[in-house]
Amino acid sequence: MVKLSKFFTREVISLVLFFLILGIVMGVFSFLSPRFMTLDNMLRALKHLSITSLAALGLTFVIAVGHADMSFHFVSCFAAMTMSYFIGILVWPPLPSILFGILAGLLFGLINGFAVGKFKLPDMAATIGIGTFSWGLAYLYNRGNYIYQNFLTSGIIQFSDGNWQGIPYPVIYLFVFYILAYILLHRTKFGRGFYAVGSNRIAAKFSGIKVQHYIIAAFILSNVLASFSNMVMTAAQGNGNVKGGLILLMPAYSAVFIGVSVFKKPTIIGTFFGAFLVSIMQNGFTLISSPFYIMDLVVGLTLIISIIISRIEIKKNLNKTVIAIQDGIS
Amino acid sequence: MKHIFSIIRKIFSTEYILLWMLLIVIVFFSIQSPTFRTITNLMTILRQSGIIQILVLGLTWIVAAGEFDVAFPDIAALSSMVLVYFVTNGLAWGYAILLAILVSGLFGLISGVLVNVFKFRALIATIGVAVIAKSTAYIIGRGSPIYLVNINKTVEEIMFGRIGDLIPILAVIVLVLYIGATFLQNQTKLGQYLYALGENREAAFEAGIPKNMIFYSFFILSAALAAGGGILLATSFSSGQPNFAGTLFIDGLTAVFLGALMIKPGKPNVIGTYFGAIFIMVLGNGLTLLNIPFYYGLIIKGLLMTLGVAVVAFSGTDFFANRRAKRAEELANQ
Repeated sequence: MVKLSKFFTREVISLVLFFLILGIVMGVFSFLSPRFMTLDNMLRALKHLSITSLAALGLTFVIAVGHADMSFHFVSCFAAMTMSYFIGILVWPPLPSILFGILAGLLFGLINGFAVGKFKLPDMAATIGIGTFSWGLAYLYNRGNYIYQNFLTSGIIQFSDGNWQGIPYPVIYLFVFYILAYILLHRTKFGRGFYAVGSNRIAAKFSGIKVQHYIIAAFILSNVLASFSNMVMTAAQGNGNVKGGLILLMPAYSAVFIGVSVFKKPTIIGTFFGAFLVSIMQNGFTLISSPFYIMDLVVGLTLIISIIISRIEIKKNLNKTVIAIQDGIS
Repeated sequence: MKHIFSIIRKIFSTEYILLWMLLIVIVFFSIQSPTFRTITNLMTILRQSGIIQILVLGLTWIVAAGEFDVAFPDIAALSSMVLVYFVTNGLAWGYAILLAILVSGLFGLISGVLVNVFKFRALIATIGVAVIAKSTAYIIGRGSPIYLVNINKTVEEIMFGRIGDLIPILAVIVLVLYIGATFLQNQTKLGQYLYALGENREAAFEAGIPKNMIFYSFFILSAALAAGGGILLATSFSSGQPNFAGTLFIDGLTAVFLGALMIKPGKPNVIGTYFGAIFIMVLGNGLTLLNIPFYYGLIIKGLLMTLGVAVVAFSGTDFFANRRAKRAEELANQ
């Protein structure tokens, strides 16, 4: 007979639980709003998903090496304002402007990485300090005012609104980055190193893994991807705003930790699931036109409840039941 | 003669570096701005820093014990909303203040339960609690601030009153609070436990330090003090704000990490936080008087905080250890 205990591993149970919750959430929203389950809305939800999930994707690497990043939302503001400055004030074409924005993210990724990886500063406090610094710099571009000049004429809008054979660009970014990240983290030797550093740093060091490089790489990925997602958001909104990226913090952490609660460790697929759940909820709450603070409340509660569920040892209790059932049968 | 040299060396040692920074900043602004150097303005700075000092006292100990709390600005906002909501609905001020502190304490308790029982990392737990507190504050006001029509005389006196038209009452209260906290930190077991937890969590736990109890009390204390700050802020804004505009979060953290430069280099401590908060307020006040936009302040604070963190981190390394060993040797030789 099939061994029940082998099939009902903790991961399967968590997955079933997750899809159950996702199903309930989607069911409730399609009941509340008839527009929820339309193709049009699903495409919009996917576009929104790409913004949340790209920020969360970078954070996954930082959590994987066992650190926390409290700067990516600040840095993303700086990067988006850099891009807006090149487009709006210096009148550059979109592509080099985007590259400069990414460069800005890269720079602060390096600073964060060196501060935490090389100089061993405490991660949260150091990243808050460096993040605040970068956020202050973002104000300098236009004294904290919006930059909206040239946005309509330069073609930057296409960065977010364009599509390839009917698929919106953000959805393409989403899948390209996720597939690349999946291959990097789960299918290469280099990627395994992130987990090695995260689970036991000393062991990793003695097995010849360059711990510092991994931490720096993780912070660069986090800041660059957050910057990228904020640039997509800026292009969609049609103006550069110094506070635009601050809303990324909460959904990104929720997405990563919902993923952690499903798979017990930060994974690319888990982060995708988490971001999907968060995004679908945000989309649904927008459709039933509930105020933004209800949305925040639900996202915060989801974060806390998902971690609590993951902490309660389902495996222990369930294995006992499964073994009892098997004993009864055999 | 030798004695004098040792005193001079002591004054210039790392323990007092923040005081020197403070002095330099004050002298600089006094030269630049005639308004800054008036005694009224200096007393206003002292009063304004009182709010930050109340807000981050609990945070100082949480950081000293090696954990983190990012919820304090949102809990302050929540308490201001709770207070104003109940006051406008006709409850007496005393009860409303009590309720505001109780509700905030409940949020602190939630942080404590998440960290102790469910083994959350304190950062994640307090991010979650902060968001819930903020959205609760928004829900109370249905998305907008509530305005206070008349403010209780006693609370107003605490916030704005001056003894002999000079010394702010709030500054005196905060000073008493901080003296009490210093006693608690330096003279009782609690303080010993606190730094033991910060040094080595496992060892402290093995030594039988009641870790859970300490974290419960710190998170609740931090939330209750944040609530006190929120009540004062509500009086000063004469409204309950679901989201205090400005840089409360960054100011508070910078105060704590600058404070770690002082007295116990590398460890957040009460006296350091006291002067750290004054430093932040002097900086903000001076920049405003010189007509410098606030985001330059943001840049400076970010740099200062990183500097403070760096010194905290490097205090454990050879550089400081060597100096400390040297000083111990000198003391032994005397």
